[in-house]
Amino acid sequence: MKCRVARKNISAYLEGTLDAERLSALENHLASCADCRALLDDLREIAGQAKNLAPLDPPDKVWFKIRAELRERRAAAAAGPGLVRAPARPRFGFRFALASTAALLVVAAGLVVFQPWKPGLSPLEAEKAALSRKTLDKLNEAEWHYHEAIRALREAVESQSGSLDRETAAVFAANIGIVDASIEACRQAVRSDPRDLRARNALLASYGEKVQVLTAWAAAQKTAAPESKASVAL
Amino acid sequence: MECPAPAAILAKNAVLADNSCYPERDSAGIMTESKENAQLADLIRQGAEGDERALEAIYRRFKRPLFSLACRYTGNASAAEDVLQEVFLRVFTRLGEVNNPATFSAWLYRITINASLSQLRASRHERRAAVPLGDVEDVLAAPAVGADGGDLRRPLEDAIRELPARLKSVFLLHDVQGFKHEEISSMLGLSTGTTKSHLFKARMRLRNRLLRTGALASGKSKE
Repeated sequence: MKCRVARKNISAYLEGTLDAERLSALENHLASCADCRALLDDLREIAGQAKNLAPLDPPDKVWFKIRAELRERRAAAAAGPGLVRAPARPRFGFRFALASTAALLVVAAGLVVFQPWKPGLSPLEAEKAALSRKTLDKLNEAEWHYHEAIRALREAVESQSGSLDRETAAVFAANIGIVDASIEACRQAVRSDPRDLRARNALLASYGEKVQVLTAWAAAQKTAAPESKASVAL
Repeated sequence: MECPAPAAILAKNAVLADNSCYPERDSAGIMTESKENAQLADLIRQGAEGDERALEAIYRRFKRPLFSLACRYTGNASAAEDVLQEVFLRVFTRLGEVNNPATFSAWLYRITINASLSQLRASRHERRAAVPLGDVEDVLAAPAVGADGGDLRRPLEDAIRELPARLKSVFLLHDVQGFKHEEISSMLGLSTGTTKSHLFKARMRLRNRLLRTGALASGKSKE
């Protein structure tokens, strides 16, 4: 076997898909050719290292963004006329007529929407639209940070759940219940109109309140006497 | 002699146990393919009906291999985040059209490759505030260079980024993600002969680059 042919077979050799005849010919060649052996070693090393490349984790915020966008789309679909199913595929002649009509409609719609005879979107309107998009992105990000803070604080409070007297712990738990109810109400408002910035801000304010209550709770646990044994589930 | 399929297995066996809503794997920690498909089919059906927990379970099942693929394809973690977002939004709005859960993962990978390629093309026109791949913790954790037989991972990551799109797709799917040629050929719409040829070319290009940069000490078998 010549080197040119051996090289062609080396990839299949690495994958174990070479038939017996070619396998034997290649192995004979490898026994006498240092260059092809070096190539095999290198390719084996590359394939082995590639297999060991660490899997990468996306940050949690990606899921929060996806979820927020899905909720927004769902709310928009519920508020609008809803999705219309595509009609059954029409016959060719009809399809041609339909395509021509559709093309005309697209042109007409373009004229109506973009109004080329008028100046484009005013800078103020464009800026407003961009600002609104940016605000929503920032709100999504802020929501994610609040989630993270609340999760960490909850864990801290749960880990010290026996350190406060029962009465004080019950007061904190009741306050959390009130804040949670407020969060749920805000969430519903956001779900019904994800672009409602006031509802979004109210939701963030409720998260902020929850962070405050949990922070105060954790601080109270820290200063409480260790002999106090009361446990209140969050 | 064939390498096991790291990320392909990871995607299939991703742990759903922390979500009590969905069934866990059996006591041996192994799920049969039909059981997996049945579970995925349930998630797809529930997701198509708007069940957010099912959508999240699908996301958690595939996020790692798809993000890894997009990261290595685009060479940019922030672009890969955009790709992941675009892929799942597209998939979640079309779950009702999924007839065969067995082909669902191939569909996801195909969309990810296409979205990554679009990102790459777009980034050539508009230079974005990039988070380089090296900033991703796991990649940084890999030792730098090893011409003396040490770790090749970091220079390999750099070399993969320089591969042409088609060769990169096949190399990432085969050698990194662990798919077979038949699966890759159906994902990319290429013959298996072509995917094999692309894989060989990709490996050869990587070898040449790694030799050129001194990251690979060739000729181990040479006396």
